[in-house]
Amino acid sequence: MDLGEAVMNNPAMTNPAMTKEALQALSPDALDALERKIAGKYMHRIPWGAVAWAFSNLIVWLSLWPLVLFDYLPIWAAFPIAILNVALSYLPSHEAQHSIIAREGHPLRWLNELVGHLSVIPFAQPYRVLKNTHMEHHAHSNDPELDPDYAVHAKDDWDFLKNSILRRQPAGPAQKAYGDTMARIGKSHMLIDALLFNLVFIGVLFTMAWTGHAIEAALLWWLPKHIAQTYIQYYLSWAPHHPGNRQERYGQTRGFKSKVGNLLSMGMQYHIVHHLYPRIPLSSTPAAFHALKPILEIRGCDIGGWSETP
Amino acid sequence: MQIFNFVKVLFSPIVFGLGFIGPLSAEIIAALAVPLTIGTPLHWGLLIGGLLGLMAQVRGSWIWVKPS
Repeated sequence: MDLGEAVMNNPAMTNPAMTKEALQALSPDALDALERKIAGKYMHRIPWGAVAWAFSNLIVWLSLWPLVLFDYLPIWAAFPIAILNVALSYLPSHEAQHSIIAREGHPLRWLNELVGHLSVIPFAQPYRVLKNTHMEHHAHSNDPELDPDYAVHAKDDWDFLKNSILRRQPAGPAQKAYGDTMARIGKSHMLIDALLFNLVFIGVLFTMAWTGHAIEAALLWWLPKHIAQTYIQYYLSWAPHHPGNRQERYGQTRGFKSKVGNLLSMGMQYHIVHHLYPRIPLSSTPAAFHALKPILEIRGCDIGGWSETP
Repeated sequence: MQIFNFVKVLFSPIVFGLGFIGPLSAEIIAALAVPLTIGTPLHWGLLIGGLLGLMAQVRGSWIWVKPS
């Protein structure tokens, strides 16, 4: 029986009224062991929902093109679906970036990589660049020099929106941070993926535009990509890291209660669990968060509105 | 180096303005049936796209406001 198991088997831990006091009485090693033990319960599960989500989302988005071009679906109906598809395209790849579907050496590793590469096609971003820059974000969260997502920081919602629009202007720093990060970690060669994605993206836009389908291209890919990018940056980068002034393990990110609920905030209310244990699948982070909540409070984590719930 | 320069031009705002915003503006003008006394929707679209692209090229911003 390891230390975590021993602590969990302590009757004091199963009594909610005593949990906090009992936790505070634990030694640092015992608390660490208990935290890892609880988190471990939510790992090592293949998130089949995310796999199905990746492929079904891609198929729906791809099918919008012939449906619209052959007049089976009006463009005004396809536009919101396309926004949803692009907004939903990132998270399955995020599961793959953390090898949650299958680690290296696992028989299903090919599926992990397939999901990673294919799911972000509507987002027009390359998996290898997203993965490597995201690992740097985890390693250096909120570090102004080393966190590639640091520029997302803003003092409030409106400041975020203003920054988000300005950052992606031709003279803005949006792409530079990722390019610089790839160079710093010695993986500049992978930027060829970004070049190819951008070539395909503008190639499709230009071809569609000069063959009389500019509005379709704008409403199926160009505008959805910009809208979804803002949405993804807001919920995946800004909201869970705001105010972003702490860099230590338990202060890099925060819990928050979203006014639009867990689904519309893309599960990011519990992002704190993801930063502590990136191998926990997105679908398990709410349960893991609530199981770890007393420990997170003792650790000094900012769990936002969740501190008032039992 | 030549390839690098080609890619730089291909991804430049002025090319995007003429290659995409131009025909897009033309389609919007035609769809809204905007009465034109001179030129075709494509002429006007290319003028709009070209000017927007030029502004973005020179100022580094499609919306006039420069990123800090």
